[in-house]
Amino acid sequence: MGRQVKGLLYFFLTDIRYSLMIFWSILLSILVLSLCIAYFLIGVENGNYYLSVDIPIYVYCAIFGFLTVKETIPFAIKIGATRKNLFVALGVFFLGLAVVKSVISSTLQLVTLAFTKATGVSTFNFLYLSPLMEGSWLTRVIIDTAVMFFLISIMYIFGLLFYKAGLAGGGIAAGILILILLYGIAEGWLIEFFINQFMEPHLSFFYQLLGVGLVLYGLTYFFVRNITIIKTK
Amino acid sequence: MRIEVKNLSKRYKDQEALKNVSFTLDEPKIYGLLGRNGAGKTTFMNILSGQILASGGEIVIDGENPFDNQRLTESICLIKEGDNFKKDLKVKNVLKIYSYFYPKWDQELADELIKEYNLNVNAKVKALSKGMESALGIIVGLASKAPITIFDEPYIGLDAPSRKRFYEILLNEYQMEKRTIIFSTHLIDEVSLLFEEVLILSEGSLLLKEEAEAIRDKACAVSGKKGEVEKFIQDKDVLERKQFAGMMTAYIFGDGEEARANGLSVEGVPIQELMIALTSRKEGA
Repeated sequence: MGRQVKGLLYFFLTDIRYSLMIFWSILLSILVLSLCIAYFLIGVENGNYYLSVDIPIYVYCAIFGFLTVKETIPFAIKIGATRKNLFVALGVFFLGLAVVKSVISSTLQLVTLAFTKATGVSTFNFLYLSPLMEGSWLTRVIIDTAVMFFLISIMYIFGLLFYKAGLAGGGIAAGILILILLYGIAEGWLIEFFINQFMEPHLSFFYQLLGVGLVLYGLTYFFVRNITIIKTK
Repeated sequence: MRIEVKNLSKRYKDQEALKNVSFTLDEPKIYGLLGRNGAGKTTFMNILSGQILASGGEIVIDGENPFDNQRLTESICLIKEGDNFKKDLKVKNVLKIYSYFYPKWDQELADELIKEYNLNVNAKVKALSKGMESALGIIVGLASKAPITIFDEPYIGLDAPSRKRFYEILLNEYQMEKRTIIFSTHLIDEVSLLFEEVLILSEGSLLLKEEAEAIRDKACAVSGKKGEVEKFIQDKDVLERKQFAGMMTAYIFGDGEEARANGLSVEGVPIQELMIALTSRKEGA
């Protein structure tokens, strides 16, 4: 691996460490609080407590992908990184982040469920995006990695659009996407698509999602190859 | 490294920051890049370091374009007056990151300078005072040992003794290993003796590019009684006149010998005064 790519990965890691610590501290605190609430629900008839660990992680990834453009790229260029190395390093970092977060999340859920089983806190449940995630540790890791990488990539593209084309350009792109989504919802095919994919799921869908994420990330090279430290307003 | 600037232009929407600027920096020297605010200095340095693209013309370093060229980006280190480093990083992280990007990085020198400027390596950039952040920029710029090192007002908030020490270290490092140092500053009088060559930009155009010694010989300050000075400067190219209590000082282009022969007192013109006079003259034209 080139020195620049190593340097960029070190830069990204040291830069993200603080925000990751805050994120996981909050999420773990919520998990502990939720376990306490679930414990008190044991005596309540039909008492059940549901917590989603994945949704906050997905939101974090989406925001991270968007903010990376204006928070990280100008500094990377100032340090002397070339656009090609930046593209490679960010790709590796995004994928690495998705995998590590998935592994942590899936392990955390495994340990928590073992704990609730051992202590008899049967009222505590995790809420999943897809029923497939109730399966094995590995299945959860694969699904989470695919969803996270896809979200990071798509929001990174939006970040690049806003950075390079300004508020107007980014706004137009976001507006077109929202119109397509609204049209899909109104026509019903979008909702049907999601119901089919998430309620009657096949793991192959998530492999495809990961593939789409990789293709989307690949497209960002055309935005990055001439990027400068000046953000279009 | 040979830097050729060919018809360089840069336009930001309606504003033209650089207008067909051309010159060549042939050899490793300490260059003073001077000019008033908005003269185009920072834009030039950003293009030179490959951080932005020119609107027209080009910069060629040893025959290659610096934009996105790894061989050149690791040979050019640009330290600006601020916003050089991410605020959440620790000083030690900043130094380590830069060490990956500059193959000639001198960690020993960085450690020495950290002690010299009394920086805490575990402190975050956002916890540093303005002067300490500037000191970190100076440390990175010097320790990078980049063949082209550019300082753009690198010492905002740095106190006078620290600035003096910086000049000493800079000169020392330069004497040990010659490299191209481009120095842009508004504290011209403080550093003018360091400059070997001076470039003055004004309103996006190159106004002057001369050896510092030649500039000093080219112009002089003539002082004496008002009437005598006025008579003497009648047929001279006068940059500026100052009068006080019947006495007059005039900055003129030309040799001071004739003035001395006329019984007038002759001194050199400080580069700062020369820059002010030249840029004012251009703006007035």
